[in-house]
Amino acid sequence: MSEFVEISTSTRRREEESRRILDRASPVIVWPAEEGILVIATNRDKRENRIHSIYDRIACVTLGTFSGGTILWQHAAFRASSDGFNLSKGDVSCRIIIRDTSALLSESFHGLRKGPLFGVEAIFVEVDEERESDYLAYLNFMGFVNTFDQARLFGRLDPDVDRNGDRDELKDSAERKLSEIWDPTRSLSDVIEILNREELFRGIFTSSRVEIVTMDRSAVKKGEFNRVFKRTA
Amino acid sequence: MRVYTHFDNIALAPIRELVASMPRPLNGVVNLSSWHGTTIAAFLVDNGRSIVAVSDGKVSEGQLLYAASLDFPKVIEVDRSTVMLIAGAAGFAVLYSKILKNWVETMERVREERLSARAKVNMLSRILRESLPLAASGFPVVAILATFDKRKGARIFLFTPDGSNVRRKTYAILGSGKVSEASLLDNWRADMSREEGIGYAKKLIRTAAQLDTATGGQIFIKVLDENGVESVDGGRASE
Repeated sequence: MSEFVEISTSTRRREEESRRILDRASPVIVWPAEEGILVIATNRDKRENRIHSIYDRIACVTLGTFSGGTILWQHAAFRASSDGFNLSKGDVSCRIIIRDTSALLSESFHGLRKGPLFGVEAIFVEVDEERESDYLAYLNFMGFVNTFDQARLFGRLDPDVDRNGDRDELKDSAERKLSEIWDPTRSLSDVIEILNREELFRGIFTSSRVEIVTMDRSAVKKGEFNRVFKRTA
Repeated sequence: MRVYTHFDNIALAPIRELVASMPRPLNGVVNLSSWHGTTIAAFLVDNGRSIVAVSDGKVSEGQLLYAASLDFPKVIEVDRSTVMLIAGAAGFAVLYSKILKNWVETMERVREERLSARAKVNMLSRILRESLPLAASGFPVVAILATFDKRKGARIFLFTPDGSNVRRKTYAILGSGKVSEASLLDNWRADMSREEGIGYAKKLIRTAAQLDTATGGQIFIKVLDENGVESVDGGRASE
């Protein structure tokens, strides 16, 4: 038997479902600095990576379902590869790539049959020669793009706790702490140590698998693009 | 996953476009022998643990073989464990190497693991096979692929313009400078040291330049082993 559901109701249901999925997303920290960009993420699956290289200077971390996240970042990687082939390595732009990614997310949210990308969000980081030119963007599950230029925390610090859709106080205080301690002049190795010492973030480093990626600005300056993305853990 | 399976088609699209837009009268009417090439060679040294890859730098133009360039590198680093040597129609050869390089880079990025040497060999075969109408129209490309695989070690593959490939257990030499193969046959030894190999590679190209008008210019040498690809003298081992 078919059921008539108003569009607004259907959208609200999908939004609630997406938020329910994303409420269990593991934490991700993005720390832009003069030396480069540091990305830290925890992973439930020890075999799979969560921080991916989309192109030499561009990395992507996904939040939400694994299947959706995989489709999303691989799509972005293929798009970047085509741009790199047709233009040049230096011309591959994160801004252009996320235009496609954003459209994919939007379609999957509004189209009832675009299932696999449902309930997925992504963070894209592009490192440039100068910190002011870095491009950091957060794409929410509806495809909206929000850019940022300071250290930020995404996902939940305690993803397995059922919050029933409430705002997470722990996350709020962690975000406040992160903006307090953020200093772009610090070296990335110092940042890892500082975060490790902080009570709020220690859980990340003691989780079953922590991934740490640095995007080296000096390699961009030298044009050594294949040395930009470094997986240190 | 549609985007994943369709990427090979995207990678090969530039060749298909060229073939589709080729004027019909050209198709297969140009004598392949009217194209002179170059000298490219690769041989195993250090008891099969390393490969020395060498080419000359001359690109010739027209029937009288005017030198369009004397410092054109034909030893191309595909990734840190693969070197491609090209001979034949220079523009197309560079395009094919670029397609292979981009394909390997993308596949390794998306799969998040290294590709086997066999995967690269098969893709280069596909690229050449797709471009067979171009080869038959007078733009043939031949290639040598020197690879280092963790499991299989150093290996050399030789490619014909139709995409056929054969593994060579000793050395491979292609291009019009093949006339100097006798020198390779006489002088190559599996226990040659790396330095001896580099010295011999220079000598081989010099011999080829004496015997073949289409060979000359700078000498380019790369050495491939388990540590990756190293350009000798910054990629230009000039005389």
